[in-house]
Amino acid sequence: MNEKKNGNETKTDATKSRIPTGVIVTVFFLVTVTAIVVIFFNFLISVDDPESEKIYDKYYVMIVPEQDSSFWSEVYESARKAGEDRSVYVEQLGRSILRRYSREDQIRIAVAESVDGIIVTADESEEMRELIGLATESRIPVVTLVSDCPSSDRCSFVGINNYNIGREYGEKIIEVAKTKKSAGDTVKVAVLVDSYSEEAGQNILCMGIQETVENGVKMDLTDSRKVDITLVPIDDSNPFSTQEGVRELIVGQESAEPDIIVCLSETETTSAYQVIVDYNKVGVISILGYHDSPAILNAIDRNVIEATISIDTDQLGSTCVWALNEYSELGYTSQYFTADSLMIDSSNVSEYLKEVPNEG
Amino acid sequence: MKVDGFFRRVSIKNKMIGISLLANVIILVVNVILMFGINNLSDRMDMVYKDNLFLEELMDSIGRVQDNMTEYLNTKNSDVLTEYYRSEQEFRDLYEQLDDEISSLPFARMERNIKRMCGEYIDEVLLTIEYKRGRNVEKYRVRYENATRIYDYIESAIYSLNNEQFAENSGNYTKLLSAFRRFEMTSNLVLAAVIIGNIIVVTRLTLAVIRPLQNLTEKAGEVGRGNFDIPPLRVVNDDEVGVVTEAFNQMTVSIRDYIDRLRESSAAERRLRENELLMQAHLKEAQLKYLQAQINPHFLFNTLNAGAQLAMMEGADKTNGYIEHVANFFRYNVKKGAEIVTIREEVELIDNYIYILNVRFSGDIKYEKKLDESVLDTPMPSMILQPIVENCVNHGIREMLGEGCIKLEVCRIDDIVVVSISDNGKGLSQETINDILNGSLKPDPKSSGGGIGLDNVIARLRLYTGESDPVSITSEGEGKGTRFDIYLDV
Repeated sequence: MNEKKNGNETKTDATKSRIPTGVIVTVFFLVTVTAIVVIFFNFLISVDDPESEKIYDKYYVMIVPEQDSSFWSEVYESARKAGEDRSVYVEQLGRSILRRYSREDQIRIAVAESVDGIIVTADESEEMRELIGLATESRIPVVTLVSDCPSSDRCSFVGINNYNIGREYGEKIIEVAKTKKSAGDTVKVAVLVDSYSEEAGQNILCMGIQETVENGVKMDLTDSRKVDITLVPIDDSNPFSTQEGVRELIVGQESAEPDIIVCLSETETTSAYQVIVDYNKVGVISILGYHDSPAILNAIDRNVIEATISIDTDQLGSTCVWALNEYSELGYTSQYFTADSLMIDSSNVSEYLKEVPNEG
Repeated sequence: MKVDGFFRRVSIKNKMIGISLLANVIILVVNVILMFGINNLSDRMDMVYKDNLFLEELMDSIGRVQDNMTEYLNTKNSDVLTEYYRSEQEFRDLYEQLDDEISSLPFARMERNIKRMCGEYIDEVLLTIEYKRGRNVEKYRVRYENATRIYDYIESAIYSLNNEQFAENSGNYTKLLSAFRRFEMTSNLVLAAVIIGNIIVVTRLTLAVIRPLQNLTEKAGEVGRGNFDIPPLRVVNDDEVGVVTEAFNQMTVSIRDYIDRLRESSAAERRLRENELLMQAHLKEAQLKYLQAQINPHFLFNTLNAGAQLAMMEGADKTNGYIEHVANFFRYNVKKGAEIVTIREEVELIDNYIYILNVRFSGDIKYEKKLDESVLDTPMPSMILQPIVENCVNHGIREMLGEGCIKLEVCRIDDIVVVSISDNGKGLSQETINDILNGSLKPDPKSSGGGIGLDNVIARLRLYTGESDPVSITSEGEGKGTRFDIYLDV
């Protein structure tokens, strides 16, 4: 811009300052509108629920006791993950309803909700058989988990080889019994079982323990100690009753004063462990636990718990979903699945502790 | 700079409209967006408890269905049955609205479960009613139990969902409220910023429009105070102000031109008037001198006429001629003193004058004339040739020995009439000639101071012709005579 030199200062100023006016106006306008739009949409985004909805094709429910325990949480988690890949939503039914319903009621609810599949920790009661029948009648396949109801119409059972577990427990009992009392004495073993133990699995497990121990005693593997195995029913029908039952067994007035306690659930294991620590019975009473939760593994590491049975929870959960899927697709599936199990004691606990460093 | 160019081309009216439109549109846009946000928020706030209200309604509805069914089972009253169907339809309408997707969102999933259970429940209730009507006591009892159980489940599920939703919604409400406060704050800030920005932009734009006008006003004031000598204003915009500025520039230029022209013409007029005055002054001087010299010309003419008649009566023709010539000479002087005359008249005067002199000095002066008749009527000021001839006689011929000769010649060269008077007297030095032409020659105290001086003659000729050199004087040196040339326009 060739400005004539005419000495007119104001005009020059005016010209200089006017050049950007149009640009300033445009820029101002654009900046304002952009800023507002950006602020506004940021706001909308911040208000909107970031959780995006995913729609599934199928809906399975899992009905298990003690759903908050780490064992069942792990099982559920693996089932949920297995379902996720096949557009199946697996839900723990008890979680969504505030009221605590019995296992039977939960099955009725699941049927009323017309879900696409039920995974349930069954027993061999008549009611359970009828309920599974009711579900099957409503074209809802049922998979029993861990404990079976073989006489029912369930499509499959996913469980543990209880007899093997019983044998492992038995071997461990013999091993531990050698360190208890002196030769010729009777070592008392208390096996904690469900109070209404109508389920065959536990019985098989107990049978495994008994057979193994009897054989061991016969072969004098216990250094001429006798082993007395008692099945102690623990009432787990009410909340908190498990802990009370375990306490009663160990320090109660009618206590049988067992030398070895075999727990068949995670809750029983942690309860027993806590009672032993609280009443200073560490070393006096040995615990054979169930499941490999971090707390239990730590207790083994500290020699409070002698050993525990680790069940492959991943296998349990995912197999349930897999079985249900297969059944709904093909109309049949294998009647029987077993998950792997493993005995963890102080000799190999470090390996498993490493796997859960954060939770330890 | 496209925008800027556009801005320059738009008229002030449109600029002003544009500025106010722009400012208002920005504020409007901001307001609309802010209002939209606020509306959106308040809608969400309303939505928060809508779900809870709906669940309450659903609960009431299923309660009525259950009550009506129970009542019917108790009484088998047909009014109750009608009431039951009504409540059942109402309940169906309600639960049909529930979500039916297996969603990852727990609420949606719970809704789906409730919906399915409601369907199941209604089926059971219908069967119950059916069996009751068919008096199938056993079956309707079982169905009633089933229905009641499912009713219980539904109630529990709705209660759970309601509770969960309420907790979630309360959280949402708090979140919304704080978001709302934040939004309010931000929007106030944005609004304030926009208003400030608007003020700046409007001020700038208005100044851009007004500034050329201010410049114009300033310059107009300067011109009003009389200073026309200002540089032209630059035309920045092609708007009304631009047009006025251009007109103003033209006006100042025109005014300047006009003033210049006025100044020139007044100077010319002044010069003319000065000439006239000078001419009159010289003439007055000449006349005065003659009046001083010829005390009473009328008396003199009469006297001379009387003398001429006397001479005629006595038969003295020469004397008569002489006196007549003298009388003519003086009459001319008196009569024509102030007028423009013709060359012919002036020549006649010279004739008279030479005649008188020759009588006075007994034919000493030889007089030769060579006249171009066609130019003798050319006008010229009076009393020009006689003083020159007088000068030739007095200073040229009288002081020489031998016969003096005066030559008068009138001829035309192109558009110029040249009147030449030459003598064969003693001549003039160049210095004297220059002095005469400059008018700086001192009159000779010895000479008779009665006549009109050459300076007067030359000055009057200059005034008359408007030329600076209407007369040329040439002398070829001592004793070789002098020649006066007068140049006149035809």
